[in-house]
Amino acid sequence: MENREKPGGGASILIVDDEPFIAQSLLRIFRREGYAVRVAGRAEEALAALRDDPPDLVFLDIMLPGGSGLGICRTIREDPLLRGVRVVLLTALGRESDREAGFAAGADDYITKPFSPARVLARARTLLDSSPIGGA
Amino acid sequence: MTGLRTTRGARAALLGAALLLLLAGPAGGTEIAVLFSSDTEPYVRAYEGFAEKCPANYWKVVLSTMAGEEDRVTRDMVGRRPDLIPALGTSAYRVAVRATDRIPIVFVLVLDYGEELPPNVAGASIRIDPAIQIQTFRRLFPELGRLGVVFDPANTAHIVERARAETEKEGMKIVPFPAEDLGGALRAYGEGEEEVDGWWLLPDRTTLTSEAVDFVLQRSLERGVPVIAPSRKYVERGAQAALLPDYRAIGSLGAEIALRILKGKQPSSIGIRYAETFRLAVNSRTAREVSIDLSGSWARDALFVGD
Repeated sequence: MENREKPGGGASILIVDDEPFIAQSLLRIFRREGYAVRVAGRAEEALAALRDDPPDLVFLDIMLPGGSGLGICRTIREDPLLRGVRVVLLTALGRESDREAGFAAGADDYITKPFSPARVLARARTLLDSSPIGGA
Repeated sequence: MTGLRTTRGARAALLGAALLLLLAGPAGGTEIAVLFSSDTEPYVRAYEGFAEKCPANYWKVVLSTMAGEEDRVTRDMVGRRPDLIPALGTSAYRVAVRATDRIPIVFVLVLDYGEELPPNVAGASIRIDPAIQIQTFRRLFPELGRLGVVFDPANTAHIVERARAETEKEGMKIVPFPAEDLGGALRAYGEGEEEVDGWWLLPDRTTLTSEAVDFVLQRSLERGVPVIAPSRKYVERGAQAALLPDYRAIGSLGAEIALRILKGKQPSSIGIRYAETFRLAVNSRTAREVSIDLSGSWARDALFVGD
């Protein structure tokens, strides 16, 4: 399922969502801007991708096959090797409780679905500019 | 009207109360037996609009409280020979049609009334007149040229046809995508996106599924084109706008139909009338993201939802 791309120069982003059209949408948006993008559709794939090569930024859906996005978020915050990874949760409209739980689990931000390219890029740039790992 | 609400445990008492309502129908004047699908707000508001415009002696039966006795109670009601039966909502309409083919039935707030109405039926649809919808789309989206519609011909072809002429009048064009199942609908939304400047989602049980809506909302926002939805819940989910029916006004429209029938007009000669008044619901976040100007005069009375 993992789909790896290595354009030169960009920060690296991991997209974790089991809805192919959401993952493809984010993939298109970030590819156009020259980011190195990987996609995982299941929780265990996401954890493997994180440990294999920690990205600068993760877009993380909450409901995933094989586990919870919140659990992955907590893992990122507890693992010294992943602590610098920025996490953006993907939430559905009207699910404020998801957002609160996400921030409690250590997420840096959230994006509500559906999302526009401009909004998602603005959030990514803001987080990457403040990343301890490196800017875009 | 909240007094009509009850629990399943009180079934016997309710049946008794329903029959009491029937027996207590006042003598003299026009007798109207109202069938409520339930006593929820849309039907209560529609009834208020109906009763205000059409003075009569009203009997009321709430079918959601009848727990399996809907047909028997309705037949009893029909046996008392009311002059007319307003059926509020789809389930009330279906029970009424099963109970009589003689007494005139006026349906109100019904979405799915089938292709052909029985001769004793006329009604006020919950749907807003497609022509009015198209005129509103034009005001909201002045740049909209090609309006994509994915629909199942077995369900909503009549809406597409009715809208087609109006879109031409407004300088727009309907781009139709017939789809007979969900797979066809998803393909149409994906493959058709380059051919349209916006999507109009119809209340079609084949094409308006959760999966299809999430798909078209994300793809459209990525492309910066608007999606117009058939109800508020889709606006809350991310569609830019929907026209919300005014339940009381639809009840009033039903009363206009009833008055014509009571004066001797045949229901079959009246047919279906569409709602003409509405309130606009707008998702302010996604509307801004497709560059809709929220300062227009139309926004004054709009209901803004979303974050």
